[in-house]
Amino acid sequence: MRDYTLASSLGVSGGGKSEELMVDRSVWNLMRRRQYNAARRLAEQRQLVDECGPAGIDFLRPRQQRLIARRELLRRTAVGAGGVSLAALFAACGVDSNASPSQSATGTGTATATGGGFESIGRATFRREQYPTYEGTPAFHADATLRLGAVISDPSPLDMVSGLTYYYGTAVWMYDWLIDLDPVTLEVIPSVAESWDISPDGLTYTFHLRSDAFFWDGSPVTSEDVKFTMLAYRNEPLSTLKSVYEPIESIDTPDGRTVVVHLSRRFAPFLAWGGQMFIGKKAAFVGFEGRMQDAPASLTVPIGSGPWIFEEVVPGSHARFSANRNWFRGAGWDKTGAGGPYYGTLIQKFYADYQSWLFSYLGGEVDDLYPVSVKDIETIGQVDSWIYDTPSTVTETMNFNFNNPDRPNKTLFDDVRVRQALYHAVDVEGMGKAIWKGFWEPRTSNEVHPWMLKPYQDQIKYEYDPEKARGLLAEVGWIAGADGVLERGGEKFTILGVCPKTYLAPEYAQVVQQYFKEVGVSMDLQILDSAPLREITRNKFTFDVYFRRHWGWGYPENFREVVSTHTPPTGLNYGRFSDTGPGSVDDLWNQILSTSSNEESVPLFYELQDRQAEVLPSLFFGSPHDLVAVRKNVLGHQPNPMWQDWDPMWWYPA
Amino acid sequence: MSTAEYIARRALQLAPLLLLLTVIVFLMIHLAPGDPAQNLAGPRATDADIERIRDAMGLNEPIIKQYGIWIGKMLTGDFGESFISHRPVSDMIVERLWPTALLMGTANIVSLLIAIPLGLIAAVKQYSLSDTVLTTITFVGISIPSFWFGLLLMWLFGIQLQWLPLSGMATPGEPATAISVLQHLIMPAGVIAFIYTAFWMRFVRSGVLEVLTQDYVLFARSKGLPAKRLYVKHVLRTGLMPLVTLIGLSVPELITGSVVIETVFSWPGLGLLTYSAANSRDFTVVMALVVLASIAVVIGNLLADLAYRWVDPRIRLT
Repeated sequence: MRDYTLASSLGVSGGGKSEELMVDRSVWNLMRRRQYNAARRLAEQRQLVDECGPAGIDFLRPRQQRLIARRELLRRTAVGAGGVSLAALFAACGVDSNASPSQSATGTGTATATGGGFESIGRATFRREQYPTYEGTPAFHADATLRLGAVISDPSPLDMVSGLTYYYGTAVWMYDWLIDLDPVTLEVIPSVAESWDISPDGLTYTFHLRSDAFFWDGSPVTSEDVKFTMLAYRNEPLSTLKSVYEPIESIDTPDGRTVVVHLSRRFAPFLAWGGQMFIGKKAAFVGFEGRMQDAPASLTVPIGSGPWIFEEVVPGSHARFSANRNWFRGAGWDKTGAGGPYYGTLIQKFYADYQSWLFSYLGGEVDDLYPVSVKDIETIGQVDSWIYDTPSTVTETMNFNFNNPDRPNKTLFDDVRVRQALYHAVDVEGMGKAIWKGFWEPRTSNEVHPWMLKPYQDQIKYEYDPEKARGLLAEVGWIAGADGVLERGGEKFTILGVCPKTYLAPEYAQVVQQYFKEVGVSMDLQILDSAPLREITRNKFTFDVYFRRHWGWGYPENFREVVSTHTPPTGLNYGRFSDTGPGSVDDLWNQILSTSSNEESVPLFYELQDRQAEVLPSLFFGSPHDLVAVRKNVLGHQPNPMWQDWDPMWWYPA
Repeated sequence: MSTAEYIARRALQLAPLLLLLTVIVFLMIHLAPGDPAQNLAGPRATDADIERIRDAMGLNEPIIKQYGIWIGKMLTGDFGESFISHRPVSDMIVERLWPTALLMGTANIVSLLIAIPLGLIAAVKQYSLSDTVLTTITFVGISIPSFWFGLLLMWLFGIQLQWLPLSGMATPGEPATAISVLQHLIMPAGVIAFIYTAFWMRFVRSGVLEVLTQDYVLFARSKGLPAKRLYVKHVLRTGLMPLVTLIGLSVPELITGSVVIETVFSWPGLGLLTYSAANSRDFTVVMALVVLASIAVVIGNLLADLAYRWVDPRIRLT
């Protein structure tokens, strides 16, 4: 007779109905002693394997988190994919592998990601809908408080210019955008500007403002406020967005709802990038001489038109806001039928680091956690949570440096076959499954706005093939030495890689190091804090490869990093990559910049991505998903790869 | 030398010491990689953007000029404004003083109230079961990493049992009543108190043990003085001398706080401010905190010396 015991009493969290789970005690004891093979055999003997889905294997994964070699990686991937379940964990399996959230996913657009094969884990349920759906209009709860977290000490100053440059997470609730981006497609949609016109020559942008956008004090948002704000972004000494607004030659305001911006040159990013700005109230700064950041309107009494009215900031502790019931994006605003806010009060709690925030979330002190590390999803499963799994605008890459002053001849990566070989040496898809647990999308480009990105099946790819890698390197003269490291003309293929200490970067960099080693490339890997990393990558350039995370902020600026004219100090092409001539990266980039519409630019973006894949300024390891944890008593989160949990105006109490 | 003369002499020594310290720290901060302009500009900024912001902040001025501007303001009590938040640094420090004083003061008082009697017991009952247990607790307390212990308590009392709040000094959005603050104070103060208790208990024990071997103690016992009166009135006072020095050296922490514990528990004190400022390369805030800490150390040492004389009148101040 089997000896069952309640899973909950053993602390097992493997399904959504932990109170009902039963565990075979003998199998469980073997698991505790890490005798996984014996546990599996016993489970098979007792015919438990057919009763559960793959969650049983998933339960084992946290115990096996360590750096693994390539063969071990492939073996485990095969085991997991084969679906050999450890149903021995649950005699009566409560894991419903087909469980879906109570609210169904609707909406159009690209296919949803499935990331990792997880539908639920513990008491957490994964959600992958693109636009939230609502049954009717959620009600406003004046006495309900939404509590969000942030890793920040003090969000001040609170003016719109600082808000867009220093910390978005507070300012995005207080101010409105001139235009906005659709949270799924990242295409331009109306906000305070309800429509706009672009002249055929691309030099004049006319924005037509809506009539029902008001600041908190009841005054309307006018063209003068938009003009004032744009010029502040251009002129304020501490603005980091000068380059976006520098092309502005003049701004006319023929009436209170029309803004006419004249550019000195065509600048394709101006609508999406320049239009996505916080609008401040001009009158709030009248009479103040000095920097905007020092004004009372920035430090203590900001005035916005956004969904949340600023009440107070207690440095080191929290910020508090009350709902703007006159916000123009009220109920029924967009395709989701959403609007808001639906909470009377919003509290933003400040934390010194992610760990403190995680603990606070588990303890029920806040309603969200972002970004959730893939290492913590089992931990999150200890509490009733939604985990929103969405694609992000981040790409993990490895940039080549073509101009290392420590290399006298600087030709190490010049031959494209060397770069191609290194790409073939890395099992990118295996890494995505092992390191990011499948919460990952393949990418062969930096650009991540869906409407710019060439469909993956049409992209040029480099399959994992170490033999091909060795062959390509041999073609260029690199032959394995006695110690296994490639040599050419007395020079060893030894490179210096630098890597930040950010989320999972050291892990995948170390795996890449192992892949390189297997084809004879020796990489000395330095994992550095931000300041010394910046010193070596921006000032000294004494590195060979740089493991880097790209955020897809604006328009095509990510490609700027591979344009030959965008070298430091005015550009971000730290590796001094250069591809010029007809059909080159530079040529395509310049063509894109001169366009004014998506119809013109999309084919060029596709060509640019192909070109990048051919000339390989970087290796692309894919795009990790964003994971956002939200307590189950809060609904309405709109996943947004640009501004993940910064949209509490849509959230409402369950 | 009289006490007043001694204090005056020490105060005069403070000025050149502070000046030297500010020069050293100013140089160290500016020589370290990174600056607030890089932090403000964000990861997407070009070097040209960063240079422009650096210019606007005055960070491209010669370092001597920057120091001169800073020291000139500091001498008038103006610590400048934060590079990041643009708020006056003095305001930022004043609003964080009370939380730190509350946290560290509570922890110190609690640990003293526990460490002194327990240290005395451990010394008087040397090698007994009590002594062994207390010594073991002491070693655990000295060895345990404070941040780990803090996380352990958070997990146990905040997440599993949900008896205590996990972060902050009060619950945002609710009145900061005495009860609420006390609930938030228990874990962070408890961690610090535990570690301090362990540390101080050893000193009390060794100090008392040394005194117990003195002839006058033996004489007093042989004359029939009750043990309690002997230990408390005669032995403890002399045995606490090492502790007096330690307490004096820990006075600065009443001001500077515990960076680790305040960070773990998100306690809005000067320790957390130090961590945030160092992280964001907020030079002005870091410098102000260094000056404050230096003054606190000097005052703490002075108090320790004066207390030492009070405890043992044989000691002369020179």
